[in-house]
Amino acid sequence: MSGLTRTLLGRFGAALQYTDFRNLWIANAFEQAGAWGLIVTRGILIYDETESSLLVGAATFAAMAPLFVIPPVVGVLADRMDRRTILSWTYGVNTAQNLVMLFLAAAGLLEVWMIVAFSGLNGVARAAQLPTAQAMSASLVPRENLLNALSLQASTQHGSRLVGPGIVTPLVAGFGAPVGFLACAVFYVIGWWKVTQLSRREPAASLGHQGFVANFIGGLSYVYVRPVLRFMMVLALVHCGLTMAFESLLPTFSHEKLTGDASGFGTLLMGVGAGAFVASLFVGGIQTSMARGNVMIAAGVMSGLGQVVLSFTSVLWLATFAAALMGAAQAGFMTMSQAVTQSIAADEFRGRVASLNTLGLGGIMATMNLFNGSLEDQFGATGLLFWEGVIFAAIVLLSLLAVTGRRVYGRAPALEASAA
Amino acid sequence: MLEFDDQPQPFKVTAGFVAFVAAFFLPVVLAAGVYLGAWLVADEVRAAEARSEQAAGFNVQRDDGSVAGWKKALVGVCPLH
Repeated sequence: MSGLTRTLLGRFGAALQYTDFRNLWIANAFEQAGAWGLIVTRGILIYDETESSLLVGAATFAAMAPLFVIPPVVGVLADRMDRRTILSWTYGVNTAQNLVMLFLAAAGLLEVWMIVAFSGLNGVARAAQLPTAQAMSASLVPRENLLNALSLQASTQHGSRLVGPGIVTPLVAGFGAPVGFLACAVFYVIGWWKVTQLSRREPAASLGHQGFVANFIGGLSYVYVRPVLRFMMVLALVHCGLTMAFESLLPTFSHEKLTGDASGFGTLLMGVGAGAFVASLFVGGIQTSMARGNVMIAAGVMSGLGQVVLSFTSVLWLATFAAALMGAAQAGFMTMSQAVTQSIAADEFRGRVASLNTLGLGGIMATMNLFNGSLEDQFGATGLLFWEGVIFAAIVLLSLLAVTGRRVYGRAPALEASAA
Repeated sequence: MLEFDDQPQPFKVTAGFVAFVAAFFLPVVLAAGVYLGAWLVADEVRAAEARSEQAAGFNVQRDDGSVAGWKKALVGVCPLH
């Protein structure tokens, strides 16, 4: 390995030196690739059978709906029991449902309602896996490598949107859906194997004999009474609502300003994904508190202004560049906000904090997409992108006036211990 | 780099706490409500639209008022219906 490679790996892949985190990261990478590959396989299969976009949407919704229900339960479980066991179950369930679909599809017995039902099962397992893996990441590396660990996880999340469908799509096109399900099952099996290599860790503290609801409310009050934690989670919620719920606006924006139809939508999404991937990796190399704070402010402001810039563009290549800028800023901001949140939360609360994030952020994005979709007729996609971007950039700048905000951005040295 | 002195404050159920909980849960409830509501009335709205299209085809005055406005709005808002 050359000196440069070693230096880059040491800086941007520092968390990978910890065996448990490395195993979790690889497991997560294969799980994400499998999940995206599965979305593509299911979509192609349903559309070929029915030519109904609505049914494709129903399968995708069935896979996403559990994200609104499962996290509170799993968050409490992740604080009560060994997180590796929960992850093992989620990978096992996803492997099994892929294999069942493979055999049913190969035998010609797979019907659309079954695919939608299996999508729901896949969604339940994913809704359990995501917060558990996030809570676990934070406990596998020392605090100085936490931002790096979460940035590696985030880059995997963005990269897998390219890699999973990139591998599975030609397989489905060339050999049919059963081979697509087989490829996804292989991804999940590899991930499962890496999960089994994680060390077993007992929960940090016993939650006693309280019920689920009491435990979950305990998690809510834990966040609420901590000003920095509360501030960060609320700001992330606002960020997701105002700058990350753009999917429903982009097809209309493409139609209104770029290509005269919705064909620019895919290109814009690729721009967002590419920017997010690069920024996630970059954030992992930040080493000081002040640099983290500065990048976080810049990412927050750019997350809003990127949307404003996008709203002014009228040429596809320029719009794609603005979308990449927007994606980079959003991913950078979200990775840092997760790092701040998980670094403050005590290990026995991390499952609940991660689940609250999953629930809140997913919910606000779904609702704001609905809201934007219904308002674009009145205000136009361009106007909504512009104003929501301006409002979020202003909120970030105003948050610098608050004492808690300055603490989050690393501008209250007396309250922060020595930098790494 | 990520050391924060986040001193907990005493916990009390205040309007602020209720607003905090609502901020995290209300969007989920709203999104689920819109989806379920649209799912329940989608057939009725689609049937009214089909009747309206048919009437237009026969050059008869369009009549899509046979279904309540809120139902049409609900289906219009939901991206999956």
